[in-house]
Amino acid sequence: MSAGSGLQQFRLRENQLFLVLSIVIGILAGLLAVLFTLGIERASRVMFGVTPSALRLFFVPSLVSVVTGILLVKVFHDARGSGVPQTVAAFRLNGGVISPRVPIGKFITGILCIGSGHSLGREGPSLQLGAGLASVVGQWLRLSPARVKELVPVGAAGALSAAFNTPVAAVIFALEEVIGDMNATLLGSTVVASVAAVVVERSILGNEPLFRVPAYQLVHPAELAGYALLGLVGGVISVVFCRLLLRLRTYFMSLPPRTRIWQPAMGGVAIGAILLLVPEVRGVGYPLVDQALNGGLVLRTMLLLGSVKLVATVVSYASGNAGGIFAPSLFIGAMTGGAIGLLVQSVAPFPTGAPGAYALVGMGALFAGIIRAPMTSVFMIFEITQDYQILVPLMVANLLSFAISRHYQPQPVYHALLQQDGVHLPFADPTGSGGGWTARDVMLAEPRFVGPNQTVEEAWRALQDDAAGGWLVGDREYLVGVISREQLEGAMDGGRALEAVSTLAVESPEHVHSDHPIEVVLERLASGEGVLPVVRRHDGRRVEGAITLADVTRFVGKGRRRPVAGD
Amino acid sequence: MLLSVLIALTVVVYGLTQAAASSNRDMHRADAVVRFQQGEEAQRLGDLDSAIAWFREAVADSPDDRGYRLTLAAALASGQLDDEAERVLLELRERLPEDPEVSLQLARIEARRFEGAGARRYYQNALASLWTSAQGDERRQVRVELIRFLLDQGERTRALSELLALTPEVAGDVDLQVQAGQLLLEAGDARLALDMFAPVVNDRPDAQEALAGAGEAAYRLREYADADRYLSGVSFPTELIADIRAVTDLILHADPLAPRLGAAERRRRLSMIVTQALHRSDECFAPPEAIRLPEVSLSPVVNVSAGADSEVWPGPESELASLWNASEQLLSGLATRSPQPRDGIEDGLELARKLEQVVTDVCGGAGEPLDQAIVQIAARHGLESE
Repeated sequence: MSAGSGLQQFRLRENQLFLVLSIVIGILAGLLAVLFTLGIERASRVMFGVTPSALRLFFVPSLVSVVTGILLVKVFHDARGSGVPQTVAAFRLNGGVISPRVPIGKFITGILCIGSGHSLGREGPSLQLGAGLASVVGQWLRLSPARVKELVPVGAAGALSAAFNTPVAAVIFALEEVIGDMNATLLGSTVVASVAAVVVERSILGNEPLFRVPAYQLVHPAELAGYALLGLVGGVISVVFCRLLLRLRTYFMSLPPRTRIWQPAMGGVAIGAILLLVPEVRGVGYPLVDQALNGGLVLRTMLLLGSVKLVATVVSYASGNAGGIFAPSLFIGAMTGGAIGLLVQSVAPFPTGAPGAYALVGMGALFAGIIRAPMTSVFMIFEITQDYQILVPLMVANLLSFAISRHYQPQPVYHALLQQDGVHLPFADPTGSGGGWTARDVMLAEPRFVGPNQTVEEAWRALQDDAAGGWLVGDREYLVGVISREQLEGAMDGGRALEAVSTLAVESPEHVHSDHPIEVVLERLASGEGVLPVVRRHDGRRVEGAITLADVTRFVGKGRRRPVAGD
Repeated sequence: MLLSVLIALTVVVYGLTQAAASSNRDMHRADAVVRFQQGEEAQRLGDLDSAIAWFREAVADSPDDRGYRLTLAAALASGQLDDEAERVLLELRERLPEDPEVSLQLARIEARRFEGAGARRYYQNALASLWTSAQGDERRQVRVELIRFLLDQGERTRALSELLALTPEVAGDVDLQVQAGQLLLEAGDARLALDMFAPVVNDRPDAQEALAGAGEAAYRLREYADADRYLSGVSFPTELIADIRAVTDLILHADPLAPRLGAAERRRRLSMIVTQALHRSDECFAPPEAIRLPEVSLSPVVNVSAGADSEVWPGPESELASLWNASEQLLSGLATRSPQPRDGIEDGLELARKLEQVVTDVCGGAGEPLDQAIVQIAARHGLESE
């Protein structure tokens, strides 16, 4: 046997083993998602009883959030929020390595938060549970780093498939959102895991559909105008939701660090107050979505529930509780769609479909606008309805909602949430060309730092011999900011020579990551402070290097050959 | 090795999840009982919206429970939420295709929507479903409901065929026999209806509904003596039965061609009949403010026709004039001449029938009991309307 054929056989065996492992991971992720769902149901029942009293409605989220606040801040730091952005970051920036603490923490805090009435969904946390489980298993089996990374979307797809009972949409979501590449070679493994998970889920929970959906029918071609209106409104609501969420989160993050432990409880008190007024927005809220789909809600109720759910979700999420925005976006979409369906029905001069059909399309439109996963949205609704006829109105509404949301909120919400946490995802390279110079090629790996406590005068003297236009303030582990030559000169001339440099430093400077292309480096350098820090993607304060205009000029002057594929 | 451990672990987790799911199902079932009771209580208090909300929660908690779903569907249907009710039932039907109650509720929804074909299909499905032997009465009531629906839809032929299917099943059940008889009457089969009522009357001579039904059936079959016998036993007749009884009585006691009558009695009866026919025609054709008696109105026919309001004179003038003249002559003849030959009596009866016919054609309605009796008497003696 030649060495070549031996290697080929080894690879074949490894691929087969990986396929088996994908099935096992899919089953385990599905089981974990089912356990998570069951845990939420049980917790909710235990905490609220069959018919919750006003006291319970107020105190359960308030008091439980005190406990989850302690857990989330002291023990399980990475279990806050949805889990989707954290999974994406782990896959794209950390080689798919996820600590066992993450799924354990998400399981416990997710059950407590959602079970105690926070207006959050279980799909995002389930996805993180599945991804975390897959990563932990991969590490435990001592697979190669590449294989560990590949297991993350496999576990994510399996868990999502079981949590939402839509195996195809789960695969698409894993490709679209986690991997960020619809042409990924991992398609086979994710499909296998997704199918295995949904089979296991149905064998345990039965074939009962998540929603009872109305038979869809486009009654009149002009009805597409109604769906277009739904797409427009859905887009606007998506933007409002994302902006409110990000702003309130920014506010909570701006509070003193000592308050972080109490922030989930602040959200809990607010949710308790909301539940006293509108108890229907408690938890995931799928029974009400089902009612909207079946024409069981009047216009006023849908408008009220949609608005309150939006506010409640923003509060629950921004205050740092554990839970996702997947289900709330569907809830708000169903209410929006149902309300628009009723309006169209009452004013349209042509026959229209039932409002339930609009509610269904509204779910997709809001999902496309908020989550920014339009393909997942289409497949998800299609899987729920199993009706081809809904595709055209769904795509019309989705497209408009997605376009409006992208125009007014250019950064997808998951990416924006990560950025708030100081994690910067790499640019997607849709052309796949790559291969050009990057910041890593240009940067000075050992940049000069100015101590934040140095006075302006001390810094000025120390930097007399340095021709750079600006310097980094802080050290390699923690970047305080940057300061430009003009700022130092101005401070010396202005009689502020004895002030600390940190008081002058720009705290949120323009920066790049080491994989940014040279074009981005030049663009940011032009609008920066004379120096561009190169920071790590999953920690925006850790410095990898720095770039000044002189570094770029020197680099180009050396006549470097542009790297080509294979270099 | 590690993979084997992982697979073993998966099996263990599967078992644990199954146990947890089973425990949750028990919890939900217990909750469903409470919520269903809350729904029933709300329904009892007339709060249909709350009842529906509770029933929905009960169904969500225990989706496999047939009773909860049926109750929810019924409540939804009561609240005009037919679409959702239909979906609830269709889901149940997928699981229990042979459940007659599901098909029956679906049929009722379709019937409310005036979807005749759909309703018929679901009713037939309900009838063809699996019924236990103890549910015989319910099954028969479903057929009765279907027959009523078909009659309401004007589908008499289909209703009759269902009635024929029902007939063998009614023996021994007096109420159902009476019900079937009434439906047969509605469907237009008086003979079968009488066959249904007669045994009941024989067994229970005071059965009011059966007596009324039998009387009506006999009347329609022109078996007036029997009709009179049955109807005379009805203590509290409805308006219809009272009318039929009055007409029957007149048929039996105003027929100038009845056997074993003296000539004077025949003339008296004929005179009464012709006078009534003239009276009805005068009421029909005279201006409302000047209703006149026949003897006054006979000659001035032309005056009426030439009067100011020609619109009240729409009929065939010459035919009516000749009928009036003939009637006048007949009445004056009856007043002066002694016994009429039988042919003369028949001609007089035919004259009265024709007058009634013209009036019915022009003014509509059936007239007074005697007018109806004239038509029936004429028909009884082969003088059918054209």
